Amino acid sequence: MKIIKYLKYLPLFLAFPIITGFADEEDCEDEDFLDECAEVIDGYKFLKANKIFIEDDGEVEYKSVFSKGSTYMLTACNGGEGSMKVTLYDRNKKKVMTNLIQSKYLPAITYPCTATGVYYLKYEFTAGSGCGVGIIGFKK
Amino acid sequence: MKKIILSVFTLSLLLSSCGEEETTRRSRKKDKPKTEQSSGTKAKSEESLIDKETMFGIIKSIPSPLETSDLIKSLGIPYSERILNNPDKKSEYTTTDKQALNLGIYGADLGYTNIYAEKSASFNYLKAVRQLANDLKIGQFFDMKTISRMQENANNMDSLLYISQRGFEQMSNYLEKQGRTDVGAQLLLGGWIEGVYLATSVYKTEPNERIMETIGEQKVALDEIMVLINAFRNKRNFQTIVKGFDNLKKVYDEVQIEYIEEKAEIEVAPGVFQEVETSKSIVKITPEHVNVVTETIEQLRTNIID
Repeated sequence: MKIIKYLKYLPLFLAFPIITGFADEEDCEDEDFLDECAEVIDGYKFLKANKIFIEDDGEVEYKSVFSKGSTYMLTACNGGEGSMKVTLYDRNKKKVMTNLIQSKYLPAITYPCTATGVYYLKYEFTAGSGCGVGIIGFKK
Repeated sequence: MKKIILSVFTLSLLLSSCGEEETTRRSRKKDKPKTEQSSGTKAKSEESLIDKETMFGIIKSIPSPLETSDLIKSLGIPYSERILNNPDKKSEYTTTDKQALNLGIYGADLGYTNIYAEKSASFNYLKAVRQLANDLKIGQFFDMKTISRMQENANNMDSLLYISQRGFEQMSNYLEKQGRTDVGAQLLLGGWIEGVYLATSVYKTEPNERIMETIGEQKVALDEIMVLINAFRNKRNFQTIVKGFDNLKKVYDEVQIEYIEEKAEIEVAPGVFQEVETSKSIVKITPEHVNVVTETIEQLRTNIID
């Protein structure tokens, strides 16, 4: 009898993981989240925002043409726990720099570009999965 | 009760399967980076052979014309409304193709007026952008709320640029979700053409080594763009621009970019220095090349705006 009484809460119980499971992704989709992340690029002009969603120790790669004479700010802003790693590679896929410096994840790094070309940005999460946004800003 | 449990169970299954599909699409980026599919100019001739994700990957990789406008201003070159497309022509663009290409052009012009903090002109370009975006059913990203926000930030150039750049990025993301690759590509192409046009127009009146170098550097973006052009080559609605891009490609094939590898210590964050392996690019372009680029881009742009 008691079990039947608690059965009325079953839908809520079943729905809970679904709702919470999507909460992080929804948070990262939210424009307010992006606005908050964009505050980091103060002094730089906003170019684009790479939205990142990763599961199961994956990684996401974007490419972008950078121009000589511009300094680019690359940010790593994530929702939830852990940190987001961003690594910049040049046109030959040679690593240029990362925001993981001396075991610390910096929220933003700057790259004074001296060679116009295609660059690759790889994003990962220390927690293996998560969502976030990688903003690219620039200044001359 | 049974019904409720059954509905929730079905709902969870539906939601989790949607999530699965989305995750697969994203995790594919690790296994099959967009770059592998888009490097160089050896593009496939059929649009269907390039997937939507690759296409929008290229679209997102192309530099914003805002960088060119910022460079022009940083060189002390005065504002010139004469080089922009007249915003009053917005109502003349009645086909989807013209609307999408000119939306890209007006977007670049909006960025230029914002960079120069020309409030009145910015407002006119914003209106043009809004009208064409509405015509293309993507006007929700430049709605009244966004416009009010822009007006509130009229004195803060960085905020203004952020809001307008975001609007265009949201439009592009929405077009990707909708699978409207034609419009997404045309939006990008219009913006890129206008960026090059602004640089060549400025060079004509104020020849400058840095501007000439910037015109030459467009070779990198053009190589990416040609993948899109090749994908749409056989589509009737792209015929007006395909020839122009083919002509541009011929000129840029003569422009050379050399790279010198080097190590440099750079300040990656305030007070944080790091030695990085980087390189320096040297553009080899002549004034004759610039003249041909200028003529070709003018012809291409005229076909779009007139």
